[in-house]
Formats: sequence, C-alpha cells, structure tokens
Amino acid sequence: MQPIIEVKDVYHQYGDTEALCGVSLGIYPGEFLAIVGANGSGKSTLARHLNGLLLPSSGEVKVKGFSTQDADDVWQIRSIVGMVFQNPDNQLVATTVEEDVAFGPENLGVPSKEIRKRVDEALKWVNMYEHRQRSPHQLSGGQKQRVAIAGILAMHPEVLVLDEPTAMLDPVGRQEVLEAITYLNKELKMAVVLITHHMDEVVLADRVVAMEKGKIAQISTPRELFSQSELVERLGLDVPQVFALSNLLQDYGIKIDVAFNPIELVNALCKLS
Amino acid sequence: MAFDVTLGQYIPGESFVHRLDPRTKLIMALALIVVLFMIESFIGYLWVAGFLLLAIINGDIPLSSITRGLKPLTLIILLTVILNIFFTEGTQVLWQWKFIKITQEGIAKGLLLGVRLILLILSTTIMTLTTSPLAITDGLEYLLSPLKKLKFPAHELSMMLTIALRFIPTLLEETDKIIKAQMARGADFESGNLFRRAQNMVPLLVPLFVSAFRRADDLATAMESRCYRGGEGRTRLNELVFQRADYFVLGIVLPVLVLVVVLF
Amino acid sequence: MQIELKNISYTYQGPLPVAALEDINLRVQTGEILGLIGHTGSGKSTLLQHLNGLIRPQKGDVLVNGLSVKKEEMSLRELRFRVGLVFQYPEHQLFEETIYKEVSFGPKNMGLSEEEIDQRVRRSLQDAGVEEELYERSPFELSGGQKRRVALASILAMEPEILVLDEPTAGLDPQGRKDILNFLLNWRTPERGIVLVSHNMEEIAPFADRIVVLHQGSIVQDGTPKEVFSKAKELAEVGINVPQICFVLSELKERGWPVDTGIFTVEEAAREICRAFNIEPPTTPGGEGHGV
Repeated sequence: MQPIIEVKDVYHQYGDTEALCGVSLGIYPGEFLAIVGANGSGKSTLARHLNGLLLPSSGEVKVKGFSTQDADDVWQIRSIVGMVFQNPDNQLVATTVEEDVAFGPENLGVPSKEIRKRVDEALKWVNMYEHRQRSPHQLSGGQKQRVAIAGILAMHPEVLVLDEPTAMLDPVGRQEVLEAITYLNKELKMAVVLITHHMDEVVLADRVVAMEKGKIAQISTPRELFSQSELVERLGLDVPQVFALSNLLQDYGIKIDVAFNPIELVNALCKLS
Repeated sequence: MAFDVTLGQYIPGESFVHRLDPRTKLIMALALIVVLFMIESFIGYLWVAGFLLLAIINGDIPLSSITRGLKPLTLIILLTVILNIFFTEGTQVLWQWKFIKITQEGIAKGLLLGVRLILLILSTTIMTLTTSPLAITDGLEYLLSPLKKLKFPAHELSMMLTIALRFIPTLLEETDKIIKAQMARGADFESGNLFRRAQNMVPLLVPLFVSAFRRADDLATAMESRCYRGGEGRTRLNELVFQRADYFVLGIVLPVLVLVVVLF
Repeated sequence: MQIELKNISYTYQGPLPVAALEDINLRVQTGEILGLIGHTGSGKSTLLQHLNGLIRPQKGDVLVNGLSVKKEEMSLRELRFRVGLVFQYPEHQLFEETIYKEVSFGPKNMGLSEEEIDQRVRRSLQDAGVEEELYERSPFELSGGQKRRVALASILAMEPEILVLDEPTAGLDPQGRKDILNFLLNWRTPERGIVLVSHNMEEIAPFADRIVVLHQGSIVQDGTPKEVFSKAKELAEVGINVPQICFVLSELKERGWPVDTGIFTVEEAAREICRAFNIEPPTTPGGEGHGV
C-alpha cells in the first residue's frame, strides 16, 4: 500500500537545538497511529511537519506526492492533512458552531450549498449537530474540541492529525473526543495520527511511534511497546494499569493473555476456573 | 462566572424585521440617521416614530430591551433638552431670571433635539436587537466591498470584528481567573490612590496580554491549517441574498422616508 | 490548623441563578492529604475559593481554628495567606521580570521584612526544584514544566499551612506528573496539609489519606481511598470512573470471587487475585517495572 504521508529523513532545528534528527515514517490510509514521548521529544514538531506548518531543515515530507517545501502545493496539502490542536478555545474562529465548521470549506472556495451539506454531515459525525446554532463560549471543553474536529472534517481530509487533543479536557470531555476519533477511524476509515500523554488512549492505536530526543526510538504495536518495561521507563511513559496487572499475574503463574481492558481481564480470569 | 456577557443584545426571532437582509437593515439604519438630522419638524419625527414603532411591534421587541438601550444615554438626552430650553434665544419669553430665560422657541428646540436623540438611538438598537452580530459584520463586509478596489480592507475588517466578538467572552473569563489567582497571592486591586491602583494592575495586565498573544498565535496557526489565506476566493456558508422583502423595504419604504424629509 | 466549612451554600446571581454548592460540611486539617474529586461544574472551584477566603460565605460559615469568617473573627486576607491556592495552569499568572521577583510577590504583599522575603524566596524555589542560576532570568523563558514549578514556588513562599491545588499535573507528561506528586508528598508534614483536586483517580488514590467526592454541589462520598473506591458502582452512577484496578476487583467480586475491593495499587491487586485463586504469590515482589 502507498503511504499518504511520507516523512523522509527529516531534520529540524530551532536555533541551536535539534528538535528532529533524521525522522523517517510512513502514514498509511485508514490506520490509527499514536505518537508518544516525553515533553520536548519532538512529537509536536513532527506533527507540524505533516501539513507544512514547519518545513524540514533537511530531508523531505511528501503528502500524496506533493512536497511540503513546494509553496504552491501547501494549500493542497493542508486540505488533505487536517490538524487539531491542544487548546480547544484557541482554534475556533466564528461566533456560532456552524459558521466555525464552515470556515475551512469557505477558505477552499466550496460552493454554499455544498458547504451546508458538509457542515451538517461533519457535525453529525462528531455528535454536535444539535448544538450547531450555539456560541462556542457556551460549550464545554469536550464539545469545543469536537467542533474543532468537525471543522477539519468539513474540509474532507484523508488524514486527521491531533496534537494532544485531550490534554486540557476533563474525563467526560476526553471520553467524548476519543469516541469521535474512534468513530472516524473505524467507521469512516479515516487515517488518524494521535499525539498523547495518556497511555489508555495509546491502546486504541494500531501502531505506536515512541519518540526520544528528536528520534524515533521504536515503532511497534501498543502491546509490544508496553511489554518492554525498560524502554517504557526510559521514555518516561506509563503503563496502563490493567496491562501492568495482567503482566504481573502472568509472572505470578496465572495463565492469561495480557489484557488492556478491565472487562477483557475479568473475563479471562473467570474462564480459568 | 463574575462576568456574564451576552454580546450584542441580539434577541433571536423569525419576524419580518428579523428576516430582512442585514445589508437592508444597515442601509435603513444609516438612512434613518441621515433623515433624522435633516428633519426639523415634529410631524416629520412623528412619521419616523411611527415607522420605528411598526418595526418594534413586528420584531416583538420587549420594552425592557429598548429602555436598556436608552439608559446609558439618559443623562446626555436630559442635558441636551435642558441646555436648549434655557439657552436658546427667542422672542416669546415665558419666564426670566436675570440672564436665564425660557422662551417658547427654546422649549420647542429642546424637545425637538431630545426626540431626535431618542429616535437616533432607537433606529440603531432596533437593528442590533434583531440582527445577530455575525450577520452585521457580514453585511458590513458586503456593503464595504466596493471599497476593496481602493485597497480598503473590507474583508480583514469584518474578520477582525468576528474574531473580537468570538474572543471577548473568553478574555473576560480569563480576566476573572487571573484576578482571583493574584488575589490568592495577596494582590490588592481595590484600595489605594489612583497611581497606586494603576500600579497594582500590572499583575493582571501582563498575564492577560501574554495570554492574548498566545491565543492569537494559536489561532493564527489553526487558521493557517484550515487553509485561510485572506478574503480572495472565499465562499460563504450563508451567502447574503436579497429577498422580496428587502426589495420592498429598499424600494418603497426608503423612498417614502425620503419623501417625508422633502415634504416636512 | 483546621478549616471547617459549615452548612455552606452558594448561588451565583445573574439572569439565571446557578446553585454551585448546597449545604456543604467539610473539615480540612494539617497533616492530611485530602483528594477532592468532581467533574467540571460539580462546584469544586467554588468550594476551593471558600477554603482560602476568595469567596465570602453566602450561607453557612467558614471556621478557621474555630474563628468565624462570617463574624469577621478571621479576615479573608489573612486566610488567603494561610491557605495557599494554586489554580489550574498556575503558570498563566506569571508577570514579573525575573523569577526571583515573581516569587517574592506574595511575601511582599504579606508585608514581611527584606531578609525574611529573601529567605522564603530562596527556600521555596529550592523546594520546587528551580536552580539558582535561573533566579535572575525571566519566567517567560522557561519550559512549561519549569514555569509551573516557579508558579508553585510563588505560592509556597507565602508559607501557607494548607496548600490547595487544582489539577496541578494538568497538561504535563507522565514524568512531570510524577515529579509534582512526589514533591507534594515530601512537602507535607504534620504541620502542613494538602487539598488536591484531580480528575485522575489512579493518580490521586495512592497519595490521599482521604477522598471526598463532590457531585452537583453536594458531597456524595467522604472516606479513606479504600472505602471510597470500593464503591465503584455508586461512583460510576455519578459519572466518576474509579481506577481500572478497582473496577476489575469489584467486577470479580460481583461474579462471586472472594476479593477485597478497596485496593488501588497494581501490586496489591495482583496479590489479592492470587489469594482468591489460591495461588501462592512469590514472596519477593515480582514483575518490577510493571508497577504503577
């Protein structure tokens, strides 16, 4: 399969510091990719290369054959790779939800009737349709973040990049946003790149990129990553509690598979006897 | 939660006045202002007042919102009326004390100016009460767009207004939060003389500016990611289209108003 | 020091009055780490502001060592100095030219002597883990995690007896979160108390001596972590997720396994499950590195 985004040996310097040193990565249609690593490991910098907000000092990023370094193609790239940021308050432009979602397609010059269709559809995907007339400042954090996601979806991107979208949300908002993301990936087959510090979100991904000091330390499945306790420790990550528990139970001689989800573990334990 | 602002006093509705195109309402408000400055007689004002009353009844605008609109300017209106009553030269003297005298002309002029001010305020409040802030900025951009040829930044102006409207509640909330955070560190925003108080605002203003800049920076990045590159080639979710009602208002009501000026 | 909220109710006035707190009775004291759990809109920020005198009680009273705030036996200003309130994202309140000046803002407002201020600034910055060579630098040059330490130090310099923190680990990476929590654990002494507000049950459970759950302006749970987390089902009803481990254990119990449900560390849970399955767990704690 052809990757939608190809990151080839990218370096990036901020002043004296090397934020990225030789990162190569392919992002494929329909996959769910998580990126983890400590603060300052280069996660956000990498994300900003994916839609040309930042340009490599050396190396290349290609999106469906368009290079981010080519100034003429940057708008094309940004309509293919949509990006959602951490602070839900600082991405909404308009004074009503539907006007905000329309902002992207308006910029692309989509005809009015088609914009209306896309706005309604995108708001339904993230379950915010009934709030379309409200003003952003009346919404909760989770609702705002879903509006921000809808604003990207209305541009009909092929990849959704989310840079710590749940970091500022409470558990309810986090759950709402994760459900929206999962729906987009599983039902609409949209490729998702999720940057996060929450290990229970990483568990949802097909592949995890673990970053360390501007380099990719490992690309693996979440299961493989969390099984390597030394690596997890070194990268300053956590292990989801249930995963740690089932691992420990294995060590103690209980014959179960390693589980991510509490119900999965309970079921496995109950089957034993 | 200390600040609960509802921006613009817009009251949503489905009336004839509500459904008019914002451009029509902007033009009408402007026309009324001009007309009011040209009329010099009570009969002319009566026409305008009757017209505004129709709009109020049609738009189902509660009296309380109208008085709220007039309230901040009560003092100015009263002052205008009183000054004119006392200081207008005239022949028909009704009452005199030393150099102060009340003349019939003075009373007439005072009342006339008072009514003019009230009607002026009414014409603009009716517009803001029946049109959402967003529609007003939209209408403004359309009306000003011919000036784009003269390099007038009509789109940028309307974009700025929209963003300001969007972020004012957010920044007010933020202000409240920072005040509390600094008070928790013993800051005092209430006592002391003027100079001292101004100095005491520093712990509030610096974080507020820092946060506003951070927000601006974030917003710019987010807008860029959503392919924003100025007004060129943009389409609209809600294109403004003149309906029959708009043609009626602009084609018939407006000329009648002009006729009023000519006749009275 | 002991602060007692007695029958506190609070309503925000406005076109639509919002009742934030209803008949709250809560005692907070030094020596204790109290975990306060509640969703956005549960009234917890209003409650916190009662604790440090940012809000004058509308209904009910706040007693500080028995002195009434309502009867003005205890001034709000003095209460603010004795109870340090660290807001969410405290780094957003930084304003001074240098880190040193930033941290001295609080002590200065207390009217302390120059030497006393100097001592306190240095002590609190050191406690918060900010290196001395940074003292004359601008707080705005720092990284996010460092900024938060400076903001924390700016409250610590007032030497409060009780420290109240609203989501002190929000937005930090796992390592940053652990550092802040460990720091708080070390800061607490019998003469100092902590009220820690968090959404993250797994984070709060091993630290807290007592857990209070606030829901729609009322206290619905108040007890030791063991007591509170064993009520996984009740908590789920008010939309609060207990740590995954508590969920596993209470689900096992529901299905008839004889397990204790008031457990919230991975180690203990593993041992408890082994016990229920009649398997002898290794005497030395195994599986190091898989820990919490």
